[in-house]
Amino acid sequence: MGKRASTHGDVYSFGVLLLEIVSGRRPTDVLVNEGSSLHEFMKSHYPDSLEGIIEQALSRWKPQGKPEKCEKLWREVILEMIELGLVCTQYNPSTRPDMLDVAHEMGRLKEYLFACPSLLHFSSQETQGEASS
Amino acid sequence: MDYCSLLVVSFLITVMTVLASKENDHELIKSDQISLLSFKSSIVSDPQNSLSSWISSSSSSSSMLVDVCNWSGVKCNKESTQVIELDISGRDLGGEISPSIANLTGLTVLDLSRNFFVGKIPPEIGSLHETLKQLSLSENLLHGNIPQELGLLNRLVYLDLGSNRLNGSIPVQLFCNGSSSSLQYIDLSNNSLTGEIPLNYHCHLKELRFLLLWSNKLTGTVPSSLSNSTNLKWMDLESNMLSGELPSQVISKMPQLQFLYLSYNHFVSHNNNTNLEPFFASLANSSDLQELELAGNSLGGEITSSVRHLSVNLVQIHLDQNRIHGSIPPEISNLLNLTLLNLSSNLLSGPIPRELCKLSKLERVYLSNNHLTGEIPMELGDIPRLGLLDVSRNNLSGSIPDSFGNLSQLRRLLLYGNHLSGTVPQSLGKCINLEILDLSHNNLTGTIPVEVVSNLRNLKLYLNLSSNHLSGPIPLELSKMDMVLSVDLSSNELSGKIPPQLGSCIALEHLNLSRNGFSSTLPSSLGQLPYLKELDVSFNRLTGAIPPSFQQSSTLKHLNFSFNLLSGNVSDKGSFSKLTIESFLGDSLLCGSIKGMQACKKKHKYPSVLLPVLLSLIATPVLCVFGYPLVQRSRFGKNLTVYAKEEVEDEEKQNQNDPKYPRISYQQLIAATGGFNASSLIGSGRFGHVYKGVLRNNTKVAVKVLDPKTALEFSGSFKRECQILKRTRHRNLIRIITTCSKPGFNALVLPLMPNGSLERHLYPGEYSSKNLDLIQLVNICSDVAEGIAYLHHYSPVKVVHCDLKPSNILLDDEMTALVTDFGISRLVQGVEETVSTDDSVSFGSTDGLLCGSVGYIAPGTQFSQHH
Repeated sequence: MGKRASTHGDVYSFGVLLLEIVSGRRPTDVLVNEGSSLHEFMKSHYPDSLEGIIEQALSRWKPQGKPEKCEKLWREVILEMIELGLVCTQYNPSTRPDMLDVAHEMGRLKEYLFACPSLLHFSSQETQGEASS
Repeated sequence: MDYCSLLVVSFLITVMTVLASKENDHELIKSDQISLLSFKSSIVSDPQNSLSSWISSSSSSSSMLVDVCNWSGVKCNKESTQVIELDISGRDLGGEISPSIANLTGLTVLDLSRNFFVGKIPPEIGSLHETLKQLSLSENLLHGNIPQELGLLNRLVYLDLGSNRLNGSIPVQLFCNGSSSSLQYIDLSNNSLTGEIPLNYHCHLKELRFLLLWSNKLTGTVPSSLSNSTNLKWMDLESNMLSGELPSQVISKMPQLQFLYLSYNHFVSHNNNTNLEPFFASLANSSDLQELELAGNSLGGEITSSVRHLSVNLVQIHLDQNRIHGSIPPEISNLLNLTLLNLSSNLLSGPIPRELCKLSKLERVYLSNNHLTGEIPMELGDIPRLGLLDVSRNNLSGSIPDSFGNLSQLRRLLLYGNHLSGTVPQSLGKCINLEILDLSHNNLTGTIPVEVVSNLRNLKLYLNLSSNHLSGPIPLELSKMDMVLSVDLSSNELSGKIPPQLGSCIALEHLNLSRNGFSSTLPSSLGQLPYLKELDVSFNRLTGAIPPSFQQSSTLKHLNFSFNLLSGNVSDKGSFSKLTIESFLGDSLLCGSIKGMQACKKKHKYPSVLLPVLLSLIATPVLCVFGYPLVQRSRFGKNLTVYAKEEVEDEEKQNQNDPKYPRISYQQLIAATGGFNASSLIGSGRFGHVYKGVLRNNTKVAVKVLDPKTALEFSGSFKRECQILKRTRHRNLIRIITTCSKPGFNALVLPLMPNGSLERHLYPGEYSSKNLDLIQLVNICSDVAEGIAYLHHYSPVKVVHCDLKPSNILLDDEMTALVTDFGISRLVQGVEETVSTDDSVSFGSTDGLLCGSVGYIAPGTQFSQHH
C-alpha cells in the first residue's frame, strides 16, 4: 500500500530529460506526432542512425569560442548522453541505474569536457588564450 | 412457503438445495450487516467519515442487503452472500473493537491497522478459526495480553499485532496451534511483551517466512525448534533481552534468510564469548543474506577471516558496540555489494585495510572508537560513492590523504580524536557536498586553507577544527558558509582579528573561538547573528568594549568572554541577564552590574546608542526572510528526523513567543507581489501559481501559492512536511525560505532564480532567451543528478521527486541548476497514502495530483495506481 512513487520513476524522468536535450524534441511532441515515446523514438535510431540527431544537437548546442578540434569529443559526449538516457528510460524499473550511478556518470562526462581545451593546450599555442578564458 | 413446496414437488432435489441455500445466504448477509453495524456502534470517533456508507437498511429485501457489500472497506464473496474481507486500515478510527466482529463467520481478512483502537483484543476473534487468514491490528493503542484464543486460528497466515501497547507473555497457543501451523508472517514488534519466545520443541512453524519481534522485553534464548522454520526470510529480534549463545544451530537451517537482526540483546559468541567463527560459519548457506545486524551485544571474539562465510549479496553489516578484538581482515573486500560497514565501538586494532577500496558500492563506513593504528589508506579516496567516513577516536597517525578530494559524494568526514599530523589538505575543498567536517583533536599544523573554506560554502552542519596546532588568521572566505550551524576553531594557535565578515554566516548557532591568540576588538556583527545561541571567545587577547549587539541578541544563551583584555561597562540587561561572573572571569577591566563583578566607578553614557538600535531595526526584516529553521546537528543520521520534529515544535513556540522574529505574513506577501497581481505571475503548474515578488528588504522571491483545491487536502500535515523539507538542503535543490499558511491559503516562499527555468533555455524560440551550450547543459544535467541523488540516498528523509522536467529545473546567476518542486510531491503523497487504502473509491478526487507529467512519467506508473 502506498509506495507508488519510487526512485526508479525519477531516474526515468532524468533519462527523458537527457534525450529531450539531445533530440531537441519535447517528450510530449513525440507522443503527438509519431505515437511513440521519446525513448522508443531514440531507440529506433540507436546505434546506427544516430548521426543526424548528433549533428543537429551539435549545431544547436555547439560551444562558442572553442577550437573545432573538440568536436570529436563533443560528439562522444552527446552519444554518451543518449546512451545514458536510454539506460535510464528502460521499461523495467529494476534494470535502470540508481541516481548515484547516474550522478557519477554525469560527473565523469563533465570532467571529460573539461579535458578538451587543456589537451589542446600542448598541441597548439593559439588555443591557450581560449582555454583560460 | 407454499410456492416453495410446489417447486420441491416439480423439480429436482438439486434445485431445492440451491434455493434452500439461497434462503440461508440471505440470512448470512443479514446477520453480517447486523454484526458490522454493531461493530460500528462501538466506534466513537471517525474524523474522516469513512464509515458514512455503513447505514442500516430497514428493508429486508435481499437487494438492499447486498448494499453491505458496497460499504466502504467491506468485501463480499462473488455471490454477495457473505462478508469475507474487512479492511478499514488507516482511517483514524477511535473506540474499542467490538466482539461482534467475530460474528462475521465468513471473514478471511480483518485489517484494522493504523487507527486509534483502544482497549483489549477481543478473544472472540478466535472463533473465526475456520476462515480467518489475515489478522492485522498493528499501529493502534491496544493494551492488555494477547488473548490465547487467537491460538485457535489455525488457518491464519498473516498475524500483525505490532506497534500497540500489548504486555504480558506471548500465549503458547499462538505459535503452537495444531500439528502444522499455517503462519507465514508474525509481527508482534514494538509492544511490551515479556517472557520467552514460546516455541516448544513439538511446535513447528514450517511455513514461517517473517518473524518480527523487535522492541519488546522478551527474555530467554532463541528457541531451537525455530530451526524447523527453514523458509524464514526475515528474522528481527532486535532490542529485546534475549540471551545465550548466538543461535548458530537455528540460523544454519535457514538458507533463505535475507535480513537477520539480533542487535541490542544479551547474546554472546561461542566458547564463552571468545569465538565468532561458528556463528559466521552458520551463515555460509544463506546466500541471499542482505543485512546482518549484531550491534550492542557485547560479543567477544575476532572477525578475522570469518567473513569468508558471508554471502557476496550482503549489503549492510552492523557489528558495532561489541567487544570484538583483532584486526579488520582484508578479506572483507570480498563482500562486493556492501554499502554500509559499521564496526565502531569495538576493540579492533591494527591498520585500516587498504583493500576496503575494492568495495566500490560503499556509502557509509563507521570504524570509530577502536584502537586502529597506522595511516589512513589513501585508497579510500577511490570509493566513488562514499558519503560517510567515520574513523574518529582511534590511534591513527600520518596525514589526511589528499585523495579524499576525489570523494565527490562525501557528506560527513569524521577524523577527530586521532594523532593525525600535517596540514589540512587543500583538496578537501573539492568535496563540495560535505555537511560535517570534524578534524578536531589531532596534531594538524599550518593555516586553515582558503581553498577548503571557500569551496565548502555548502557545509551545512558543522566545521570542527578545534584542538590542533593550526596557526595564522581565520580566512575571510569562512564568511561564505551561510548554511553552517556550528563552527569550532578553539584550542589552536590562530591569531589576528576576528573578521567582522563572520556576521554573514547567518545560520550559525554555535561559535567557539576560545583558546587562541585573537587580538583587537570583538566585531559587533557576531552579536547580530540571528540564530547564535552559544559564543565562546575566552582565553584570547581581545580588547575594547563588548559591543551592545551581544546584549541585545534574543537568541544568545551561553556566552563566555573570560580571560581577555576586554574593558568597559557591562549591565545585566538583555541576554546578559542570566549570566554570572563565570562568563567574565579574568577580564579585570570590565565593570558593571553582573553579579560578582566590580561596580563601575562612574556612569558611562553611550552617545552611539542610536546606531545599534538602528542596526537592529534594519536587521529585523532580513531575519524574517532568512528565518528558516535549522537542523539540530546530530552525529547520528538515524536520529535526524526525530531531532528535526522536536525542533519544529520548539521553533513554533519560539516564534509565537517572540514577536521580534515573525514569519512572513499574508499581508507581507500581498505587498510583495502587488496583491498577487497578474503582472507578477511567472508560472503556473499543477499545484498552483507562482508569483515573483520583492520583500521590503529588496530580496527577490518567488511565491508559490498552492491551489486551494489541493491545499484543502494538505490539512495539518502541510506545516510539518514543510519543516522537514526545509531541512533537505543541497546546492542543487531550491531552498524553501519560509512558508505562509492560513486556512485556505498555503504558500511557499522560494528564492527567485534570475535565469529562469531550463525549459526557457531549451526552447529559446518560444521564450527568446540566450542559448546554452553543450558544456553548460552537461553541467546542468550533472547538477540535477546530484540533487536527485541527494534526495534519494542521503537526505534526512528519503524524498522521491515525482515530477522532474525542464520547467522544474531553475538556473541561478552562475547557471548552476537547482531542482525545484521536489517537496510538493511528498506533501501530496502523504494525502494519497491515506486515500489509497480505500480500494479505488476516492481516487477520482486526487487524480490530478498523481505523480508525474505526461512524457516524463515512467511507463506503467499511470495505471498502476488503480490496481
